[in-house]
Amino acid sequence: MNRLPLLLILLSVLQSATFAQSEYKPIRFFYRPSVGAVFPTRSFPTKDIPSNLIGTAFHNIYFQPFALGFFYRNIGIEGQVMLSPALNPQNRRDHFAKEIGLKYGNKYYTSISSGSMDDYMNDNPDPIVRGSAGPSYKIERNCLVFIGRMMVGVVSITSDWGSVRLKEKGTNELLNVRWDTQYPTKDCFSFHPSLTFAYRVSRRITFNLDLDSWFYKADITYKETTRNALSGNVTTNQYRYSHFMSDLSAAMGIMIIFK
Amino acid sequence: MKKKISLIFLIAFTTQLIIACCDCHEPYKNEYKFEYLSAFNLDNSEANSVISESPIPRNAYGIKLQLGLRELSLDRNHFSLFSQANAMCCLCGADTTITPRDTITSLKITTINRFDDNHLKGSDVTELFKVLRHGNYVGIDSIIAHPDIYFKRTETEFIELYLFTPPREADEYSFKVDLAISNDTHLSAQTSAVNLK
Repeated sequence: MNRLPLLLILLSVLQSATFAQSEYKPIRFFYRPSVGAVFPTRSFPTKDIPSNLIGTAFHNIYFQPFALGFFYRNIGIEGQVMLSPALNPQNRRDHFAKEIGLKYGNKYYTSISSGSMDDYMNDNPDPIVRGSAGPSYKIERNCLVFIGRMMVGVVSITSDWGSVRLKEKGTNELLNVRWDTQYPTKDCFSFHPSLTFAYRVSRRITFNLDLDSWFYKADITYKETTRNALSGNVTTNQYRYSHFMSDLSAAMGIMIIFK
Repeated sequence: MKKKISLIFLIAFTTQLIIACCDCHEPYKNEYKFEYLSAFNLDNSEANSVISESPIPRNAYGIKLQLGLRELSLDRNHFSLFSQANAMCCLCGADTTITPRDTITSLKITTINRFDDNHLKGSDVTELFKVLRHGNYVGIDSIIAHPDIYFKRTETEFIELYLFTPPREADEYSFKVDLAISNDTHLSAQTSAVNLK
């Protein structure tokens, strides 16, 4: 009930802003930096050991240092790049260790190591990159600006390495198992619909709320290498993860209007 | 005159630069000899191997060798105008280098008791044991081939030998380890009798 007066005031402000006489020129060329967060809405099912090494199933922050757009009348084109730190949450490490325990724990003593257990930032300092470009459409009502986009681009997915030393219980037998991908990051083609709600505070500046969604297919192959410490025999196995993913991101930022 | 003064300053500066770059301590060269050998029964049935006198599973048996080292000399290198350091990048080498005076020429394990039908009392059972090196079990010959990997900078070194062909019957077993050194001496040690169950 307490929120009702506030909502009415907000609506009246928006109404007056929407239908007031326009005092600004239409936006033509702009730069739009922002800061926000990414929330995975559909990610890999972590059902086996190496799937816990794929860095997709966790929330992250992002910074958008590069976003340029150009409008001709209401139709335009825009390109943007988003950077996220290569975070490595505790639960990913725990799940990885848990899966190893479930598979090998009865027969072996396990000694686990992976990039997620070491200092991940030192091993893989490259940020996670999302980049996209595509057409956009805007609606300007005095101080209010709505921009919709349908872009295509890439989402980079990090994949960690992992290994376990398996010492058989009650014997001298020793196995070393390692999981690895060919590259630590993989770029996936993505569809990227996006919305921006902006409030123009001056001729050159707007405050924005950005909502983005990302749809992409991740195709990652892990190679499992098992080496017998006594015989030296090596066996390999492959785990392929081909999965449709989606993320939602929300951000706040500004738009600097050049023209 | 100005050229001469500049040349003198240039020579002095260059000399100082080279001396500064080469200002490394002469390394201590240190040698050691193999002093004594002890052998213990090793139980490798758990996550980490432990010395044990209790009954040990046959498939998890090992021998732990303790090799005592004794320092022989502590000599400085002879004086030299030019240090061994690299003058171009000013990196100095290790302060101390420790090397064994002698090398191990053979390591032989014999069984004190009857081991199996093929290895009677006093038989050589060296080939039944392996050494763990860089995550892989390798033959004992590798100790002889690469002694520097095992003997570095401590007064005592340990070598773990793991049995990979266990005896068929549970019984008490004991092993004698004989280490031949390049100076024609031998070090030997015997494990206490242990029940391999």
